[in-house]
Amino acid sequence: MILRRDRLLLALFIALPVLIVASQTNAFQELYPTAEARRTFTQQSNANPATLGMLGPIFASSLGSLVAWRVGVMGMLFAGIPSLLLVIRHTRAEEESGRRELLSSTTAGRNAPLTAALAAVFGANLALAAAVAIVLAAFGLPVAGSLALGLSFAGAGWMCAAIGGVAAQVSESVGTARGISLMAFTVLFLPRIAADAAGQEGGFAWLSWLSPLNWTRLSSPFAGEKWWVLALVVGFTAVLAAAAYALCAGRDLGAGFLRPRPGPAQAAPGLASPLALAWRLHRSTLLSCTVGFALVGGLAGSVAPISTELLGDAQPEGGFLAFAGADDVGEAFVSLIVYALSVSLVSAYAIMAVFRLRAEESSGHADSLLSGPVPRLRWAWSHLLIAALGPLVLLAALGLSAGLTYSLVSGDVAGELPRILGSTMAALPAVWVMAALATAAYGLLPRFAAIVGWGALGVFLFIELGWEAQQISDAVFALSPFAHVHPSTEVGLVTLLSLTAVAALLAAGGLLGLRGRNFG
Amino acid sequence: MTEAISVSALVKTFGRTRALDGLDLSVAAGEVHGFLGPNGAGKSTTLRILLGLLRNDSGTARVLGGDPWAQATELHRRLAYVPGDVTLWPNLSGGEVVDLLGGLRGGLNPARKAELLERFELDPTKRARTYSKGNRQKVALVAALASDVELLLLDEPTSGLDPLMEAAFNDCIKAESERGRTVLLSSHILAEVEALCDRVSIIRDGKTVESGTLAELRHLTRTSVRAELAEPVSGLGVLAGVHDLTVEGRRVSLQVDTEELDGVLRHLSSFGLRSLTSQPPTMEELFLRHYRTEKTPNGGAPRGEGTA
Repeated sequence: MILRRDRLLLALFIALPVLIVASQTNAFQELYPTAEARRTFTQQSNANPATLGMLGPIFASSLGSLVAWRVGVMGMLFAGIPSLLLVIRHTRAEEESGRRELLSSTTAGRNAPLTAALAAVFGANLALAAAVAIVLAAFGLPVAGSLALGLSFAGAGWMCAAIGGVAAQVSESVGTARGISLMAFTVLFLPRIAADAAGQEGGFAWLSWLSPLNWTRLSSPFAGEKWWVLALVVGFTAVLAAAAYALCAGRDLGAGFLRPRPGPAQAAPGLASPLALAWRLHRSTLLSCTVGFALVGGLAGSVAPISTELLGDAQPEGGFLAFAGADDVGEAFVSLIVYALSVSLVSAYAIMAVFRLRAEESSGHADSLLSGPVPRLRWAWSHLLIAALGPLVLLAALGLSAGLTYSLVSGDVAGELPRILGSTMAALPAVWVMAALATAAYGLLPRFAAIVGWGALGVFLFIELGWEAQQISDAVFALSPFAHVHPSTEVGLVTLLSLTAVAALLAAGGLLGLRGRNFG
Repeated sequence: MTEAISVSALVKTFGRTRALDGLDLSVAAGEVHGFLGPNGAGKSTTLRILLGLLRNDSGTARVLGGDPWAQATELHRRLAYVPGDVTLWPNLSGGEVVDLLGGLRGGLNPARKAELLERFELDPTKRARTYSKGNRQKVALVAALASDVELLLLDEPTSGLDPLMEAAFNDCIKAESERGRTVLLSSHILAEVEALCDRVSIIRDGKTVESGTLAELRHLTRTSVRAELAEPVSGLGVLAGVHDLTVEGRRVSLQVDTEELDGVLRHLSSFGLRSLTSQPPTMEELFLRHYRTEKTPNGGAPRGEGTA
């Protein structure tokens, strides 16, 4: 049943990482054709704390190892986060919607949904591993390494699926389950950044083992594969899955371990408008995301200046600094991390906030409002306002925390803080374009909104990676809103205003569509 | 008599499905109007058009004298709607939802709200996610009934309520009607419609097949008669309007078209009546007969006609 309902999603889930792996392998083959070129590149990036923090060290200078390094962290994200969300979608979300009751009353046992969800996601990851391994082997890379890299993707997916399984048992609501599991993902991911940025000689190498998600990288595909690390991954998955089963066996259908408190018998006086309701629905997600971005920004900002000191005179070549639009490595590190988070995660937040409209429509919640004296567009605005201002808050949290920690350590608060905050906020109009694109899709093509909205983000991020690997021309990259706010470009007022205008036009189109179409 | 709702020749298609196919509906101000039809007949689609959530393909619809699509917001101040499948925001408590929906209309009468909560035995502090279907429905009912509106649109409002709560609901609707409100009650539960409604429209496959007061509709149906006579009966089979005739010696049971009842009773009494029971047509029969007849393909004879 899961395979049937999600065949498109699962196909995307496998296709996207495979596409990325293939394009990156191709890029490295062309950019660094000789062993000499690869050795130089390896030395440079292993000495550059900015890239170390983002992607970790390169374990060997073979082509395979370079590819494994470039796609390793991405694999954790691209295999991990969808796996985690898929498991919750098929366990807790089913239960909350009541569909589960229909199944449980049939011959399916109480553990059946958990088993089915885990089996489907484990299987999908295995298919992903096979696909990645085949693609790599097809490029003529060693089979053992190809297999190890494929399995390292699957390993991230497995661990995250198990995390999702536990989170789904703990909480009664889908939103909380998602929040808990994404938080767990971040906690398991973060030690890696600190450990890798500090460099292998920094005495913090052990820290990178504290990050179970990083184990997938530490299995070091194409660099003397450490297969026993994959056993560690499987063990971690098994322990969490067992915990999920134990929790599942000990609870009632629909219940969780976090019991909801009774609510107020009366609404607060403020809860009397669509906007007040929208804020109520969005606030916990927005607040936890703000805290999360502030933490990541703070971490990036505080690690970065150390890297400049560590490097001393051995500063990297100017091309890299120009690419990051920075004067030194520390600043490059901050601006690249902030940029990467802004275009991917902040955009994802904005799209998610817009699609709350769709969720409210298809769940029937919106009917209760729209059958009252609430114009359709006023209801839509209430959510769009949060989709527009939420990213502003997130970017501000990210820029402030990164700028503040960075400038405190480097000692130039007055100079560095406004600069980092400013360059962070510059991404806002590009994020708005993504939100507006989702709005247009929702208003004009409600049935295909999710595919269009998330697909656009996927395509633009893919173009971005291709452009960075010099496989995609500047002209094509310019189609992406992110191209115009990339750290390597000078972002002027005209750019910001035109992006905002594009966003406004798209959103207006979506709202017109919404006003004229059937609802529900 | 002013019309609260007037709909004529309404058509709505979804892709290839023709959900409404020339539907007519007329609800007078102040009446409780039953909107009857089996599942999938187009009741909810009609209500969603009346709410301006869907746009009709052709035909006209007027609600409280206005255009439900173009003037949705103004009209919604004067009406309240209870959907058939109430879904609520899982994190909000029942009380919060009632206040929110009421607040949008400019506030509820707190005494009225408290009275309704008590009547429906609803705990307003529970989160919506923990409510059963019936309790979610109660939340929507309380919000709708506590607001001061002219028109109530109720889509199968009792489908999740237990019999006690159904009784409470019936009392409320009667009270609302006495206060002069108009109610459009969609339902497939005949007893409910029979107990509450002044007039009824029956729809099937997106078309109105019958409309009128219950008394008017009963003319279309048959009364069932059982009698025990003093001497063996004859000649009943040739009388107009007699169906399903069974004669066992002196015992007779038959169905008779209501307008022919008089003639049949005269005929029976000429044989000396010993006992007589007769049942008026129920909505149930009216309804079943309607569907059975209409559903029979190729105009084949409906059950019962053959023995007459």
